[in-house]
Amino acid sequence: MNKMLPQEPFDTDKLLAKFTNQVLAGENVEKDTTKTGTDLDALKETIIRLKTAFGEDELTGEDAVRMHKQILARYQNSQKEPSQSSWRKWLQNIGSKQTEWRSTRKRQNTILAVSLLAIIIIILIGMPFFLSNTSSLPASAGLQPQSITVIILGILAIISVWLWLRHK
Amino acid sequence: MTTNKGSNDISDEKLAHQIGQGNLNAFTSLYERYLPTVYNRVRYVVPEQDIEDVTQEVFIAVLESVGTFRGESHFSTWLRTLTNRKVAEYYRRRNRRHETRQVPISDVETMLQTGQKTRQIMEERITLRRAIALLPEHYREVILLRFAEGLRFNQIAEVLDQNPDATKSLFRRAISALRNNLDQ
Repeated sequence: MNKMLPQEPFDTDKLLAKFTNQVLAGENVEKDTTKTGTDLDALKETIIRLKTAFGEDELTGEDAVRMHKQILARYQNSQKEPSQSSWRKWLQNIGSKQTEWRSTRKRQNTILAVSLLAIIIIILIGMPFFLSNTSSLPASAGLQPQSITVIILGILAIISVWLWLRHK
Repeated sequence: MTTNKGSNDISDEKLAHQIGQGNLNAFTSLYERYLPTVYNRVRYVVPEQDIEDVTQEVFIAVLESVGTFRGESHFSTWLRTLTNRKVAEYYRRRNRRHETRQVPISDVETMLQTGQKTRQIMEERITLRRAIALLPEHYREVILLRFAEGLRFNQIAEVLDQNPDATKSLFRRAISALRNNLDQ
């Protein structure tokens, strides 16, 4: 098979398939592999590497029996465990998605950007209240009712953003 | 998936139905038929020390979810999908533990435990697994069907619903991509 050079990809496909069949059938192809100087040589070498590295099935009969016992034991144990309620599974699912979501640096940056944007919006919204509260009353003690409203609104906004971020 | 059909000739689908009814003997028959194929498929893509564990998880999943097998496809196709899903789950779990996919710790541990004689093979397996993992799914699949499952090209063509020439072309491109990954 190696005496002819492949003329086009179609030939290479067939030659490689035939070579693979021979290698997997255990034929001693290494002696027959004539270097053709084409891509086919590199592909053949890859086939041989795969065959050499993974070789034949390594499972013994004893392994199979041992694994069978372990599978049945693991399955029976899993059947004994109390089944989780659907809402708990849902929460766990959310939790795992949250972990995956958080693990991505890009998304962490997105959170940071959204948080900063939210803070800027809060400041912009709150600015008129602060500005309107600058009347000079030197003798006045304690907070003006308007200031208290601004503080409460600010706290509510921060809590909302925090809850929203946690939910995400 | 290829099978080691034993003494009984009951179809896979019938055995799957019996497992769904709680027949563990039917499970044992299917297990004996498919263990070599599942194990082989897993060992091409999963680090050495986790092969048995992932293989067991596949068969536990068979016991747990055989009820969802409706017989619309071959059992072997269903099992292949299940195996791929379990391998994907394994990598998701490992990624959550922040283990790198490039150099599996368990593979390195295995390599250190083995003697000099097999160390080269272990190193080669790590390299090849890494290169296989980087392949697009359709390339990885055709390589696994030929090498891990031992299907002939005409059988692979049937599984992939292609003609044999297209399958051989896909295989050549897959090996070429694998070669490129190995060179990187």
